[in-house]
Amino acid sequence: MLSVKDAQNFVDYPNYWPQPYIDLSQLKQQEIELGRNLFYDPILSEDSSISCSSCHLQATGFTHIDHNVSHGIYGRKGTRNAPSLQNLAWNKTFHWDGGVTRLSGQAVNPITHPAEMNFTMKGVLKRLNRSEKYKGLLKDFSKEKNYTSSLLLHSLAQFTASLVSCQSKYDEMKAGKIIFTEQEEKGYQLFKQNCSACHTEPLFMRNEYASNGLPIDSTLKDIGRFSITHKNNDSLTFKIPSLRNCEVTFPYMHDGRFKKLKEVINHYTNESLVHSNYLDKRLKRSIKLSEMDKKDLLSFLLTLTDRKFLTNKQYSFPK
Amino acid sequence: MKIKLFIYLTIVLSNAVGQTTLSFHPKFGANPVELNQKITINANESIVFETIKCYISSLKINNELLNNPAFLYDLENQKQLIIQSSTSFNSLSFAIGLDSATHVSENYTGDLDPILGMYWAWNTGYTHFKISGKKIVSGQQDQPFELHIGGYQKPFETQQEKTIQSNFSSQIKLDIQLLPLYEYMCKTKLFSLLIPGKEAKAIAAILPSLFQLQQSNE
Repeated sequence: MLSVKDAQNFVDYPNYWPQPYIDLSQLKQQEIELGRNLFYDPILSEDSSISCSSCHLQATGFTHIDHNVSHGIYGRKGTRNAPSLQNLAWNKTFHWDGGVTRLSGQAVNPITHPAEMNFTMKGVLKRLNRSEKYKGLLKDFSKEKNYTSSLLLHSLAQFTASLVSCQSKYDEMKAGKIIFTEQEEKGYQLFKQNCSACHTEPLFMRNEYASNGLPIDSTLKDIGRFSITHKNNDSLTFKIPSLRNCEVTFPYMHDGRFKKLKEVINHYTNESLVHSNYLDKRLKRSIKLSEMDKKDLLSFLLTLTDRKFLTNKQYSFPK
Repeated sequence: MKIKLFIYLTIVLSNAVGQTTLSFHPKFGANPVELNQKITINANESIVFETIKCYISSLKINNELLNNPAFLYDLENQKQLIIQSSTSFNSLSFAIGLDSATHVSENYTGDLDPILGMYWAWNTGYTHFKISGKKIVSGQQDQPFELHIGGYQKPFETQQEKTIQSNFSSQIKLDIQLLPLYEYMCKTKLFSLLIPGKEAKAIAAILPSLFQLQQSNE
């Protein structure tokens, strides 16, 4: 394990992992703590009802379990499934369409979005600077005299960048501590043959966008990354998400249309896959899996669940 | 006598540090623009501006880049841009908008603070030029307009450069003539633009022509 000293061993990851895009050695424990307090506090929303954790629950891989799309303030619904927050330092872009290229700037979006927190940056800062709790936290965790956009955004980014999931059964297998069961091993081999081109080890993601053959939702009419780049090639493409902790991050896909992993596997084995011009070339070849293969694959996917991450008190509601 | 001495000292001190102020003055035709004040275009038509903001960056005098930070012009909270120069100059250049490095600098301080309303949350970066308001035509429903002109990624970069040649005084006043922008909106019926892309790139090309040295400065 690689320990990042400046973060007081808070952020560890296996030394065979690629270099993250965010320098984890620059994370500061105090800013992480301040960010954690902010992450769990509904003070960031207009009516103080919604916190970041409302849609990003630790126990479910920091996503919004059982909601195809999340609801924010006043029960307003968004248009996309809340993504899981884990290993964000290895992400080049954020959001399903990759519109956000800096983790530190991401929080402006939920704070100001009418269907999320519906507030203003000015309003948040005013509230934080008046709050006795946050005046105290400022003394404890920062050298700044007041809350500023920079402090707010960088603190939240530091906390979310510190959310590293690398202690699943898969990771233990890779570290030579355990061996897979026969079924898990079969599933692993099937995964490498059929899925890893997009969900590439060890992060089980790629910093790419793909059209995965989902028919477009006639209500949401989400055209994906095209809305950011306006390039035809990006039509109906969405960020390839990580499969780590996928056991608990349901429902799946950018619009949360699949409730079960089995439905996802069935989609890729052609039950609902649309062979349009936009379909990613890696999916042009049909994936053929028997019912037993599907069970084996599922068994492997469950090895990506990281219980230590899901229960790590350093990531939990601050007490 | 004391007043004369004060004025003399002010001029001398000002010249000693080579300080030039640059101020911006939105206009619509011959009319100065004030926020939320109706400007009559003709007997049936008028216009109201509710927001006028833009970034000015990459200042150059005599083709030499200065190290001024990005400057946000906001009609609601007007301020002057200060240029420090040890020599006189007859060429002034600036960018309308921000360069790509600034968009992703993660520096949220000063005029780049997201509380100033120019940060694009859903698409990392800043709006370069923002106006909003409404076109009023008698007998018709008001036509609101809202242009957020921005985008820094190829092929839809929208940052523009403006160069003005003149024998500048220590107080430079630039008009921002909004009439051509209004005519463009009416001609193309583009009254709402909130994202980067082809339309933003096309309309951004007009922006340099809006910035004109005030007649009294020439």
